[in-house]
Amino acid sequence: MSRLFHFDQADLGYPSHRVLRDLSFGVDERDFIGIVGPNGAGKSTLVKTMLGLLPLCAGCMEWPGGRPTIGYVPQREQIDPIWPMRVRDMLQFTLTALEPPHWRRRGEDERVAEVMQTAEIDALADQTLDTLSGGEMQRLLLARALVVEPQVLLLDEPTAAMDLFATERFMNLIARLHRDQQVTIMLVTHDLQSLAGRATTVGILSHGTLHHGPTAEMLSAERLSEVYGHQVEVHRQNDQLFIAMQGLENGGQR
Amino acid sequence: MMADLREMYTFEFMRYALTVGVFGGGMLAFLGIFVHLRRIVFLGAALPQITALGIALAIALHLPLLVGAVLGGLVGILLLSTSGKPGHLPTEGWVGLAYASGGSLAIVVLALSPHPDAGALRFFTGDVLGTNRAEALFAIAVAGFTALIFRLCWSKFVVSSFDPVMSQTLGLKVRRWNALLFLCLGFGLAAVMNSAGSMLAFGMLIGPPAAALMCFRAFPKVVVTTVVLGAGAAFVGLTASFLFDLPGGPTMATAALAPVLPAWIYRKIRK
Repeated sequence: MSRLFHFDQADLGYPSHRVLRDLSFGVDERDFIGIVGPNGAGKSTLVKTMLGLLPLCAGCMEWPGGRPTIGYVPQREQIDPIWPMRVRDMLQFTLTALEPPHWRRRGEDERVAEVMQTAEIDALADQTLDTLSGGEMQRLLLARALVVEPQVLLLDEPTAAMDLFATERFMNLIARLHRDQQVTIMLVTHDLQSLAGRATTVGILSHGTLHHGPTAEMLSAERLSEVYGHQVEVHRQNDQLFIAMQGLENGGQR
Repeated sequence: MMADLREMYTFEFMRYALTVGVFGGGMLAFLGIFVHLRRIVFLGAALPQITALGIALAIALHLPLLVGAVLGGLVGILLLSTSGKPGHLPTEGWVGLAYASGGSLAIVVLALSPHPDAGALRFFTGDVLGTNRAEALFAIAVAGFTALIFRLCWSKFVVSSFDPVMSQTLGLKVRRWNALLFLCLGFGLAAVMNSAGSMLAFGMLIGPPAAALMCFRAFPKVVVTTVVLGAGAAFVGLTASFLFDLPGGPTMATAALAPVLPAWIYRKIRK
């Protein structure tokens, strides 16, 4: 696998406040990396920088093979359901927005039908945004990211506030995309359990920097205890990971 | 009745007023869909006030009103679209300041004007019957440009307004599409404000799209309904104002807002 991108001694954040300092790490093509860390650790800053929405404060970020098409999947709360669109409309608009201005609207693209099937929302094609459940909306956002045929999928806490079934379904979908279509996945999440058995590597953001390594090594009790500042117990069973945190009886004071 | 209508529209001033109402009103109603969906209705209220200030300055400086209206609209767009930087006053604060200062300063400037004009207050009271040929042609030109640009680039406007962050990641020039949207809005407001006042401009911007959005959940129906309601309100309002000797602009604005109540009832019943 060749290198997709890397940061070299990069400072990320804002001119008045650098959130991450001296960041040096890279991601390979067809990797599945999970990015975790406590609130305020810099996950959103990392996402914004990778998307090109925030300039680097120092250092460099390189894409050795050129910047690929990135499919961005935001949290569903960022989507306003008052827009009068059906599921298929949103995908069609995304596709045609990237084309040159045109007079006649084309018929529905095969690509739209294909990604609706991949994201398991083909049955919802004619539903409007305000009728979708949380899990359905998140799968629609995944489909929207896929419609532009990305080489990289960047997902920002997609399973936040999702129920257990919807989370499992969504994560299985991501794992299948990674396995079958060789899409590079970068998943920012608080849900550590969902990374076990799926992510090949994990990056933990903590104290202004990022620690990066194989999933099993990074999701160890010692490492997580250090990052979250509380005693963490980790139990493994097959590919499942069970995490328990201790020492929170007094409002989180150790 | 038909004979009355025909006779009514044999007058040139009525035809000009109808032209501005139908083209300008229909266009503002269409742009109002984006104003509602982007949740910038307060901005839609403040812009006519700043445009009014531009017109007042034009009167004071003895310039064509249209120049003042266009410049006022564009300066308003520029000021309001660059306000609300993090750490400063929130966007709503800037919009409120623009609304209050634009409206009050316009009246003060008019009162201090060394070139008092008997018709100067018509854009405040909405006397659309004073519309001239140039103003009517300007409304047609702006509506035509807006229709063309939106027909060609519809999905770009929708996607960049719906999710600017994702649009940027895909390489869509969000700022450019926002600027174009606001430019159309600025010129549209200038076209209507100049002839028919702020009341009609804001009524058209808000009423028809509100009614359409309450009734329909798909863009094609929302757009068609909005434009038909906007243009129809201009015709119904102007005709009613002539028949019942009412002020033209406010009557057209009332007609633009009238469908909101039945639309709200329809939505409640359908739910």
